[in-house]
Amino acid sequence: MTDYTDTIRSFIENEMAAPGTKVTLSPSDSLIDKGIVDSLGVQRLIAYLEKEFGVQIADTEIVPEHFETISAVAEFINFKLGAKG
Amino acid sequence: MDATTFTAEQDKFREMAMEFARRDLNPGAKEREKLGKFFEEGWRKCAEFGIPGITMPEEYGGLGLDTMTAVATMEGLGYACRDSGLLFSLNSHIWTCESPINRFGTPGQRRRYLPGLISGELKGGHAMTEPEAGSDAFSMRCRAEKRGDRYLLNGSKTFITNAPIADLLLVFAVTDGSKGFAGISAFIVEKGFPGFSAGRPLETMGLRTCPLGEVFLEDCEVPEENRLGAEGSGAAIFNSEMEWERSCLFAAHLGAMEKILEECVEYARQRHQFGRAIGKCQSVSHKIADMKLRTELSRLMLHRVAGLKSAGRRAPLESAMAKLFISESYVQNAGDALQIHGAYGYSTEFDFERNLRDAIAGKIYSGTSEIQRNIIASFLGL
Repeated sequence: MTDYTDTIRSFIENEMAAPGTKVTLSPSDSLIDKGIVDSLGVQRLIAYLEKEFGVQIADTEIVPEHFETISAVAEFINFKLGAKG
Repeated sequence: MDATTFTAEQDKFREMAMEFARRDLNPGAKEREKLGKFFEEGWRKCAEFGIPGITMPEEYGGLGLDTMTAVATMEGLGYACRDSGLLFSLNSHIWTCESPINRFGTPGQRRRYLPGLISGELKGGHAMTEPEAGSDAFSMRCRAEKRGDRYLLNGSKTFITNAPIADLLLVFAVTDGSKGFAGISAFIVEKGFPGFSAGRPLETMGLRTCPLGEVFLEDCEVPEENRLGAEGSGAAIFNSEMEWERSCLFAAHLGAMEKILEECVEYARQRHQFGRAIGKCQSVSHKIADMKLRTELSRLMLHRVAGLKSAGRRAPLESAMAKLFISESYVQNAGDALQIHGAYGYSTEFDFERNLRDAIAGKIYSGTSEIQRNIIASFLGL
């Protein structure tokens, strides 16, 4: 199982934080509480994950547990890649 | 009309929808529009025709066809139907109630609600907007509190399409106030549930035959089994709904734009002023050329996004761009058509002024033009 935490963190820190701001996130920081992922941002994050990892994420999988922290996102991607075989 | 991206079968659906609208939906449309009266019989006939069930599974009474067929049908209806309010009412029923229940519902929820929604016996919609939460939809105040095996919903919703006639609504409410958009859940609420009531129909500028109203939830009891999706998945359900609606509903606008364009060309060829057809004046012909350009670009954008959805792909950016472009093009074309027809366009005897009133709604519902631009900017990293 590959750890994608750094790849995902890099995208979120560089692309999803407010333009012109520098943020440093730990894998367990709440992306929602910190305002990094909002209702628009989650759609952009999903589009990135689908493209970067070649997975298809169903609408029913877009639940807070999968997107609350960087760790949760990485775990979800590992699950998706495992399911993909 | 030219729609080369449709298959022969999809094109047949569009033709059939046009014939159906002229025969069964148009009689009395002008009078209903004046009175703001919903066309109950027209709804029933649309259901008999199969419109609410085009993409729905056959096991629940649907036709089980693809998204492009639904788009072709909506284009045909948009072209020929003069009761735009009825079309909007139907589209809300399909994309904001029936379709999310099909995609997010449990087998039990699908069995319970889809057959009635597909047959037209049940009318549906969704309830998201609140008096203080419009474009900032996820700042809603409506709360859902878990009590044993049920939720108690409290709050109010406004500008809810189909609320005065709906048998069930997909109501969005906050289940965890600490999680922002991730603390919102969706509930299938029947009109007979204790604590549910719908207010008076609201009068609007356009789409006047589509019932629009308020919803009040006072300790409204909703069984846990009526929660759609997991707790906290309301935003995902709403975003998915909007993506589908933006990808398909606006086919009706494209159909209307095609009809308006044809009427303008015909008028510009027949109408003579200053000794020649007005179409020979560049002030008119250039306007019509731009209308043609906007219509064809709208078609390309709509068919692209519908193709993505048909292939099971996600299209949040593409659907936002298509919705924005088509709705603004429809307003522009409807305004230009009115100007080209002069006083005839301004007269309520013809459909040009109604087209313009109906078109303006498209820049507001399904997310305003400004929200679509926010989505596009967000995908650009802004």
